[in-house]
Amino acid sequence: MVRFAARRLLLAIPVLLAVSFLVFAWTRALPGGPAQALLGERATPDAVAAVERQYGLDRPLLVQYGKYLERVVTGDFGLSISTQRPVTDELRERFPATVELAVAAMLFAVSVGVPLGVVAAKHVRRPLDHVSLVGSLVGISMPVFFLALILKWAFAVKLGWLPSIGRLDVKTDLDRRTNLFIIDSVVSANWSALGDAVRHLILPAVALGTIPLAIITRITRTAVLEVMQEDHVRTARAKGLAPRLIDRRHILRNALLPVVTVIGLQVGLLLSGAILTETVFAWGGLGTWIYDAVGARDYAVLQGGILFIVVVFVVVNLLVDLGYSLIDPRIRYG
Amino acid sequence: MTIQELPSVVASPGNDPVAPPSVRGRDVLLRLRRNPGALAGLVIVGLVILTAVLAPVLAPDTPSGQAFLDRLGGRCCPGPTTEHWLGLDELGRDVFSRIVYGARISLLVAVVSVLVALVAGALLGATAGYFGGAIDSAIMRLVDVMLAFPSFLFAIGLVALLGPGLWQLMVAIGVSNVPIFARLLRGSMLGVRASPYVASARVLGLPSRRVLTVHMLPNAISPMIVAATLALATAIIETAGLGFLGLGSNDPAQPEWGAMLANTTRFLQTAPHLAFFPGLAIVVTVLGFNLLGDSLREAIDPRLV
Repeated sequence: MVRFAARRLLLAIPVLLAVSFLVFAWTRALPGGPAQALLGERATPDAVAAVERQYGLDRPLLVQYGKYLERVVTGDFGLSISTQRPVTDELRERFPATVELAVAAMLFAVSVGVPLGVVAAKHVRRPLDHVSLVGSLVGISMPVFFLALILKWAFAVKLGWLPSIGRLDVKTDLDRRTNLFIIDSVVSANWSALGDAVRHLILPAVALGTIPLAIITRITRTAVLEVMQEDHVRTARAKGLAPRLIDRRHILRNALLPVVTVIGLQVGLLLSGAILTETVFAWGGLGTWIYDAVGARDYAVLQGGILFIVVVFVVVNLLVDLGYSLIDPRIRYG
Repeated sequence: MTIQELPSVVASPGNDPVAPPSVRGRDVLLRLRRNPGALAGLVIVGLVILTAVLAPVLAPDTPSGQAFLDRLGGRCCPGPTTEHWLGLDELGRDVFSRIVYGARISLLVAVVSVLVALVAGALLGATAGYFGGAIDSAIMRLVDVMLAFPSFLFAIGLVALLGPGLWQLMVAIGVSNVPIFARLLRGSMLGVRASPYVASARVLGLPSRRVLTVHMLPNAISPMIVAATLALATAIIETAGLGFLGLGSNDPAQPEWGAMLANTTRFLQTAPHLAFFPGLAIVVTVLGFNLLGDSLREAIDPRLV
């Protein structure tokens, strides 16, 4: 297990190096330089040259990349050109916001999707199964930003039950230690802030979690159906085990493997969906940050932010791989 | 027995109890006809294609034609009326006409981008799967690097690089989906490569190109057809997503469904129809392709049902 983890980590290094170069080369190839973006359309060539000198943008590409890599390894992503703040500081504020949203979305998707899939499998080819199949098909076909707009219209604009934008009411005071507002409010026992943070989280999380929910429901249903037909389940039934025990110990545990794989695969979808969801709900996470950085040609933010997302993505995939061997002891990695 | 007959005889399900179910065209069609989902998908996709083709006939107005808002009471975005079935947008344009013309954009971008992904992915996957060894490793590492990016983020990056516009959208969405097809075809090529009929063809001394094009590709292609149909659904969602972020076409004569939704956040209180109808068009179209793709998958490989 440890050897497998170490080997997978080593294999990830060349991929990450290639990704870092790709991201670096990409930011340099973007139309209109960062100096131009900073100074505006009518900047004089002298002013542009001065800014390029200041940020080291006038040096050869490979030298810039080498310098960049040197800094990245020490956790220094440089200064954001538009806010003049260290990218690492902004990342520390933005990343927890996206994590909070993605985790809430995933919790919603798993806690609803897995039971729904099991129920559908138990009622296979009956009305309940058909409803869940049609529902999940519609869920998969729904663009996340459309669902976000519909939810916002219904529950924030029309009914006024939930807030429509942001992570916290402007009047709410909160000691922001981790920037995960739910955790911050629990740690500081600030219950009114907790309620406010949860209320802000509901709509974006449901919007972002619906597509994963639909996928998880379908996969769980198929997996449970497959396992239910296996010999060991028949044996368990034959020897008179309680149905609930068979469900939990023999069916669900074996059906979980493909479900865990799919949950892992959803991370990319969640990160992509987060960009769109965050835009609709003005959620100050990584998605809106990177989107704004594309518009502002903020090289440091783009390089740091995208590289960070890719690292998270690669690490989560590694964890999913490791998760297999925990759920299914038959899988032994050499 | 001629050489041409060899693969079909060896791979025939009748001779081999563990062979995959028949993927012959006639059987697939038969299974499709029995599936109500396939029919529903086909009807939806057919209607969307018809709408796109007949847009100038169906739409009462051009996509950029503006009605005088002051004549309509001067306020923004009147809802559905008998004259304007789905209402008017903030610039006084007929929403129904724009949705009808938008079908052209969505279908065009989706089909071209999936073709780009399919052709490039198939070339990479077939090369990797056929040659194996160092070529396979090199191609798959490239694919790994591409897969390290969430595909939508990759597409955003490419559009940022290429600038806004329709063909840029097609390239961006196409390229970001290449790894899916490359991996898929490589996987099924590896499976086919190990099968007895390919070994027989090789033993008979057939040239590599013939083994690849006549014996391996046709047998490895069916998962690609399913994946391509489902990729059309994803491509329509991704096109709309990029349009929503303002990264689509800037041309008002090219109304794109996602871009139509982009401005609606401001008018959500007064004119929710602006968000509702284009969004519904996306959902229905994507649903059609998903139904079709799922039914194709079930028809080609009934074991998955």
